Amino acid sequence: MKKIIIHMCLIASIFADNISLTGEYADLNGNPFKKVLNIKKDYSMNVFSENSKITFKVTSNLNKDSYILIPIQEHEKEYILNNKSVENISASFYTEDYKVNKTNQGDFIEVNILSGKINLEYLLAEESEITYLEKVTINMNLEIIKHINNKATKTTRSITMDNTLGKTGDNYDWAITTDKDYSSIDLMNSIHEILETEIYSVLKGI
Amino acid sequence: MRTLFTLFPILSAVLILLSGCSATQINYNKSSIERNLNKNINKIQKLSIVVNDKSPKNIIKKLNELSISAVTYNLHASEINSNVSREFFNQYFKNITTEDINALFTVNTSLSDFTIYNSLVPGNQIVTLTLNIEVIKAGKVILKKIYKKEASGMTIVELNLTATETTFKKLHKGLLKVYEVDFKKDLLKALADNKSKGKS
Repeated sequence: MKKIIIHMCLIASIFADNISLTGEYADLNGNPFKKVLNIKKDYSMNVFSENSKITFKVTSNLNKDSYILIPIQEHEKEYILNNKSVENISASFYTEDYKVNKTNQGDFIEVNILSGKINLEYLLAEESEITYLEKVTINMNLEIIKHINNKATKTTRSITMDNTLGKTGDNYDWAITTDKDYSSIDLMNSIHEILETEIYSVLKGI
Repeated sequence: MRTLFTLFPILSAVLILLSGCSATQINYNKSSIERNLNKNINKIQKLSIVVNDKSPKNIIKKLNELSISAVTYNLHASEINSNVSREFFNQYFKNITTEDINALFTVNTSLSDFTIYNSLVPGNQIVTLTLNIEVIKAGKVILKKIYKKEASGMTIVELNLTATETTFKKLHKGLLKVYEVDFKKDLLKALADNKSKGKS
């Protein structure tokens, strides 16, 4: 029985990978001085996300010809996001100014991911048969519902971001410069980082 | 005519000496760091911090630190450091002043030295910076450190008329990076270690 379960898990892992957001990357967008200086918080904020699974389909520029050169596919066909973990990003955002509780009681802010897709761009160096993951782009649609005095106000947003996290280049005028790390992107870290930054950016914009 | 031929090398030497005497000015240029500043951070609104620049007004250095070099730089150290440090802290704090007894903490900062060297890669000069910083909280020095760093960045395509323009921008960006990467990490740790203390 044990073997069957292990085999089932292995088979499942070929087609999908689970993503649970922790807020680790969202925290990097905040003001770290607020946390360390113990700025007094006068008000509290309740945050909530539905307990659901959202599928992010993956597209890439790896085509059939590429597979001949690169026999090992470097990514899953889809990734499954645990929507409940979005609460951690809401908490990361609001905790700078409020005492945060994860609950749907009283007045609260609800954030849910509705859909999303991931596109991967590989640099295909055919002569050396090496793949190099250059760019990860994630598009997602999400809803923000403000529950105040038993009245719900819903806003939907669509956001697209790549692994530069929306930062423009630091090229000087009339010169192209770089201090970029040219090592290949760690896909899972990048997906977490982009998703958390996207949700944080949307919350900041509302 | 003969006199003219005799005078020509002397005049040339005088001209070279005179051109070597006039230093290239390095002034503060906000556009060099603007793209590296994060404008999306929620600033601390009510409480203030004190930032004092203690840099010398000017630092004069020769290219490659060679006394015979014809190229001299005059770094307007105080102007550059006071502005860059203020821009750095202004990402996180709305109120930055030079005097406030109720401030959260006081930062004394000094851009005390710099060097510019030519490198083997054309158009890529090497810039080093020395920054002395002291942070005082509740009358106690919680951080005192000297940061000696090389400004990062490699120029791939250079369309400026002079390579120095990019070098000066690299210097500005390098200074901001010392604050943003090295100093910030140390300051957050020092503040966390001294959390329970009162106001400075």
